[in-house]
Amino acid sequence: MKSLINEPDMNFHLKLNDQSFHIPYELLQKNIKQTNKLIERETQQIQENFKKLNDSFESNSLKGDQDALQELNSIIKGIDTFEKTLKKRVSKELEILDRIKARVQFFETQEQLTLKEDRDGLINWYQQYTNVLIGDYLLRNNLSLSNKLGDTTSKLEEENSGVTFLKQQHLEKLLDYDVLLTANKIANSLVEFHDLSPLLTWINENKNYLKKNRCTLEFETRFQEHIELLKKGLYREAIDCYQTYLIPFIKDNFNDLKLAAGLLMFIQCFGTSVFTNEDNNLKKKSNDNVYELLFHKKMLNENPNVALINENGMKFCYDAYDSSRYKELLSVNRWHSLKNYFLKEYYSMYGISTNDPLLIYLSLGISTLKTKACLHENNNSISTNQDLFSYVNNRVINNKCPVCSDSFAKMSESLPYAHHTESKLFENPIMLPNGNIYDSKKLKELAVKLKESNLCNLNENEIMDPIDKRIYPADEFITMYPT
Amino acid sequence: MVALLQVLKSDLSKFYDDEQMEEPCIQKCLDDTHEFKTNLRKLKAHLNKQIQESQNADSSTAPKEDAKLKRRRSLIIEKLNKSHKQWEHSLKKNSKHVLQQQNKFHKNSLSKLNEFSIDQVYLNKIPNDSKSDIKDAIGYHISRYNIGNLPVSGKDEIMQYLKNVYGIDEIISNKFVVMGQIIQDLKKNNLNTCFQWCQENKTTIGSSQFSSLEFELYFLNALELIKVGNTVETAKYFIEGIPQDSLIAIKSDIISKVPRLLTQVILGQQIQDIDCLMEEQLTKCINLFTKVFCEHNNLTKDSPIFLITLSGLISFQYFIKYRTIRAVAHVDWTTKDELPFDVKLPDFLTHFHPIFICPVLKEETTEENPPYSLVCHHIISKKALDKLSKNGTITFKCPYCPVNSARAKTNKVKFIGI
Ligand SMILES: [Zn+2]
Ligand SMILES: [Zn+2]
Repeated sequence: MKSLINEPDMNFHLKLNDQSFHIPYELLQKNIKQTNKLIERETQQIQENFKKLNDSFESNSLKGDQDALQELNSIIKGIDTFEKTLKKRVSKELEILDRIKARVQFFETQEQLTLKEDRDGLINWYQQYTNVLIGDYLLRNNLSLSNKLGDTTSKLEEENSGVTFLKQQHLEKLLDYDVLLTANKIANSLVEFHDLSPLLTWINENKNYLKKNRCTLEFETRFQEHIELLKKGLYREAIDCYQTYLIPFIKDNFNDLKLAAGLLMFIQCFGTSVFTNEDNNLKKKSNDNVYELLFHKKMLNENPNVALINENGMKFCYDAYDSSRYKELLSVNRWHSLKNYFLKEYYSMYGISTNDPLLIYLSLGISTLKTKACLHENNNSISTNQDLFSYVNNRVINNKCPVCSDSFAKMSESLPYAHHTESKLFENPIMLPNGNIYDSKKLKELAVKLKESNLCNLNENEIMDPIDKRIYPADEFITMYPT
Repeated sequence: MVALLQVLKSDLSKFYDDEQMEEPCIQKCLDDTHEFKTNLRKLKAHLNKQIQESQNADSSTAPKEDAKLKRRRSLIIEKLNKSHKQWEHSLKKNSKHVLQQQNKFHKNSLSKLNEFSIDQVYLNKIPNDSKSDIKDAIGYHISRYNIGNLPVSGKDEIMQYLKNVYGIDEIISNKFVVMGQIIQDLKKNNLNTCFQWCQENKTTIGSSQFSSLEFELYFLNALELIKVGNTVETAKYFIEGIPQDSLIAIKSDIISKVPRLLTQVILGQQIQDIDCLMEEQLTKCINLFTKVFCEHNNLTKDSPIFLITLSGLISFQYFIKYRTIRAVAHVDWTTKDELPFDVKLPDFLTHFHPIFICPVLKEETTEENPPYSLVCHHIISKKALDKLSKNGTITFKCPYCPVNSARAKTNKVKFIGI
């Protein structure tokens, strides 16, 4: 199929957008697995019920039959509930399939437009494509609006400008915004509210994936939980957390556990201020002296007996007093690292690109459009005739290049130029005495317009150079041969 | 190369039971469960009756009655178990089938789509401090393309809405408010505001555009009247409603479109696909109006962010190809500030700046290396000029023709597109 505007072929379009098919596939997998679990449970249950039922019938007595009737009643009730739950799953499946359908249709439209050689329609289609990218960008980056805890999904949808935009453009089926909104919600709860519960819920729901990829996200989350409990002074809970959630990871995260234990120690003794103030007294003493002071024991240097530590509620200290490491544990930045780690895992699970797709397109596009003539002022000399100046500025030598536009000029400075091997010039190039080369036809048309609107006094066969406003006779044109 | 879209479509259709792709296979689980429940209810009623009859039966009941009861009872038990087995079997089969379909979908279609990740070409990152510029660019884009879809009308409400929901500055939204309002009206079948705008803004410069627009609006109105169905009114409008200026400017358009339709109307014939025609005409009017409005108000018709995104999309395959080559051959960009490949763009994306490639050195002329005109009026870059003239010390022959030039006799030139 011939391309109309040098666009790539359909296969490439699809590969470019494999996310829009991969994400719903993941959602379908999740849904069907949950459905199958549900079905498994229910069929198991009904099997048991029917066994009871048949047993009651076995007795061949009136009482048995009455028991069977009761059993049958409860079976029917169970099936009824099951049906309702199943219905939800089936609706979800239908909704996800609907998304895939809409996306296939969207790309089919592109094919049809190319077939019909409808250039305007095709450009319109790409404008819709851009809208989806913009919607995605707004979705991901729109954390400024309220994202309070306990916001229901529908409220989140209402308030996210990306979702609003997609809905107004009737493109909401082309983007899996629910997946992105969930990521937002969890990320936000970490960074804005320092709340670990949404993340822990998500980790629980996706244990298998995380385990398969040997991800330490759960450990890091529990570690943060431990730290937060310590900050609040809840030592009992902190120790519980340590024992229940952190100890299981001891094999791979021994050093972190050491740090956690040490932190507990120092916070218990000195409060969190020991790491925020520059307490010179403590710094003066040597490391070992500190331990002696606290525990009346020399510092242990070999690997300690962890079980012993557990038993005694960590009354031994066994590492160097390094305030910088502990300070790090208490810093707010840990929340940002945790958020980034979470997003990395979440995105890779669904196959979502790490960078905003819109930015990728912009980076490529700017370089493709950036010529050596971009970002330079085209000196439009100011004349006393204000009307003439503004006419020339707005209609004649106005720069419509997107790279040179206000919004993009600054960010384009640092991006590479396009590579050109062929000249792209206007027709009928003629040179004026001042060295400027124009399209002679356009110069003559301009002269006509200037005369008609009385912006410039021109005689027959005279033209005006729009840059310096000087008047030249047309017979002074010198034909140029640039190619 | 296999057409992936077809493969996708065919795999997708396997998720549905019907041709129209409205009933997913998994629906069957629900249907079967519902049927099972209904059966159970029926059998429960039978069993109930059975129990009651058994209770009423006593030793005086004839053995034939007794036997009948017994038969019915065993029938109920049999049906219950059969129904159960059927349901269980069907459910398991169906859910397994759906899972298989999904796995096939992955193997067949999805895996073929997974050739590269778009992150791989993101080498020149957009600087972090550009966030507000991007916000402005998006604001311009939304003002340009979305006001027609907003749930509010009225100039102040629109600008307020754009500010609140999208954070768009009034300076930007102000450029397109009037246009957006008129588009909203057009969509609601109100053509008056558009006509009015044409009247108020017609200038001699570019009047042919306005005439075109007025004609298309007139035609849309005519189609609407056809839909309403009042033949006399419609015919009258057809004849009397032609905008004055259009008569002169676009005679050919009028001749091709109007008489045929008018004849059909007068003869009382049904116009086929009137809704489709109207929709097409509406889109045409909106597009043309947008074009005229933007030109009249000196705004770019396509938003910069759209043009750049489109360029990005067109250039994508070059970047991907290059990345593959780079990975294999361990080559890298020789000039860090220029792309290592040439991207072919369509005309409407390349007419912003004139581009001149020096025929001698084969590179683009710049401010630092501008084009120079030789005595014969052929053009080369300054660097080439210095090289050929050995820094102005000798005369040299033009690369295109036999004329000799000396550097002193050359002039710096500048290509200016208007
Ligand atoms: Zn430019
Ligand atoms: Zn020459």
